[in-house]
Amino acid sequence: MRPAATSIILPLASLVLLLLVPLFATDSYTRHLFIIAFLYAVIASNWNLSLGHCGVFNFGHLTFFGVGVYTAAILSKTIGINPWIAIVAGGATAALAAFVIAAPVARLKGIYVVLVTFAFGQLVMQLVLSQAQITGGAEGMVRIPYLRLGDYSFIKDYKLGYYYAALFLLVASTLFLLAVVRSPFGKSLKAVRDAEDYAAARGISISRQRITVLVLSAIFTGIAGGFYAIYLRVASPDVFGFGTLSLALSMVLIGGTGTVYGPIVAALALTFATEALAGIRGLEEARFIVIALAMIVVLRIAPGGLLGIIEKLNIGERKTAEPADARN
Amino acid sequence: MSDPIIEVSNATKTFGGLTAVNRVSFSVSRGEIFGIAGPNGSGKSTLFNLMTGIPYGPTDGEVRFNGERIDGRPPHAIARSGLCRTFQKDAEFPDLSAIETLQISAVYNGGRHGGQALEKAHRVIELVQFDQSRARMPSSELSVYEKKQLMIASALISEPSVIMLDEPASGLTKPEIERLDALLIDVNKSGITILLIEHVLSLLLSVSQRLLVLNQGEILAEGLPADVVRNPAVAEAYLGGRD
Repeated sequence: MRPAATSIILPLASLVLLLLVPLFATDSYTRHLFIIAFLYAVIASNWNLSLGHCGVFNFGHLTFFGVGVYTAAILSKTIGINPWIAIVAGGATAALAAFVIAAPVARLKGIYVVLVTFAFGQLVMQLVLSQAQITGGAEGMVRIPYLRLGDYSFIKDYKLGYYYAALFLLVASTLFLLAVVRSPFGKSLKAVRDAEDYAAARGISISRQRITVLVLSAIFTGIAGGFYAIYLRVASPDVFGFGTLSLALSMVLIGGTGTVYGPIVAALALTFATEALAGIRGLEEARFIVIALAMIVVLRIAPGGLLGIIEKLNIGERKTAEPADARN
Repeated sequence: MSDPIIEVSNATKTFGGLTAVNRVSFSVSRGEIFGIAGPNGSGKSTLFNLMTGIPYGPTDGEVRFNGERIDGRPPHAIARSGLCRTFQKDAEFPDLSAIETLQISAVYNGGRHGGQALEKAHRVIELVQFDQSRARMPSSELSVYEKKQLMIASALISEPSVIMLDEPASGLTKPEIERLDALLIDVNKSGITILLIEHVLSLLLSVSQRLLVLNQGEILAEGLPADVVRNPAVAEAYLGGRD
């Protein structure tokens, strides 16, 4: 496959298809699945920016999502700010949370990064649970204001407005990620990931790149969290749970670390796969075992994920045709 | 010594009970090619590490560059100040092409941006005679010699005052070592001071103007290469058995 096909034509064709989906998927349920898949795609692909591109084992990524959820919920319901602004504010507070956690993480390595970031997630969850008068505690917040554009309510038309808003969010996030990974900064992340000492010897500040990448990866994750709260009209501490985290992580790993499109493809595939398995009698609860097995098989065959398999199939041609910077 | 660019005083590095480098002092003159030899484990790479702060600084002692103390400074700041090193291992960014490797070196170490960085990358590729047709493939697919060329090029792109090369000839064939020899001479003629750790003695003796020999973290001998080679202790312990 030519580089132009993988980097331009395929993504554009996929976008056109997704734009046309509501013409065929006219029911609320299918559109809901797509909306959730788009949000997971934003979460997973942004997580991949820090984990896959920079090698920061940040296990607190879903915390940024949760911070976005509660920011939008509190701002729109408790304070009464326009939900559109509340969604964007979710990105700002998530970036701030990322900056707070990045400072101690920047100088740590390996398992210590996992432990500190995971502990940070638990800390934020405990904060949410303990501040029940603001966050609703274990019961969360309900009846959060929904999106409107002028007189148009996004609840109408079988979630058509939410579908396109979520797709727009995914497209904006993907363009942002492509711009980051293709910039010198994005390339420096791969340098930091693969040869930290060599990178430092070329003037790259390891701690600064780690802090910056964590903050950047939190922006759209927080916005997705804000959108999630406004769309479902619920903010629940479940978003900090291990289930959400492991599902998003499986999307990153199955899709392929170090790529932009891999986790997006995996998010779409896994969302529909888990839903399809839930519909099969006897597999309602076993579906997560199936996902876990899929993750093990994919990582065993191709540690680079699904896009890694495609790369392997094209390896002969790529050696002569594809420049290193076309592998996104 | 006239116009020292690097001054190392009583540099010491300990790891628990092990002293890897013990009170090592030496100076390097501006424009010199300064060779460093010694058997495996003698502390050569540790000396480079503590001088550049990558990945650690000295436990004790001082390192001065252009008269200013640099021990304790962040590693990337030392690199940006013009003291640029290469590595014996982990000598590549496997996912980045040669052009991309040079581009980020030009941006972060050379303060160049956009087209300027790219233009500089192409000029340095020509300087080290890197095969242009292979400049856009991932570094993991380059040959050993090409990886060495690229590492030296990525150091040169920031126009450093000093480059510190850690065994650049390891794994190279004889013709490749000859090309490297010529490249080092050319780089030095452009005014860049070179510190060279090398096990390939033909290269080390050919290009070095002065030589330092380490043994068990301490200086065994220092001086003109011809004198150092004649030193009986050096000849017997380190050089006698070599070709």
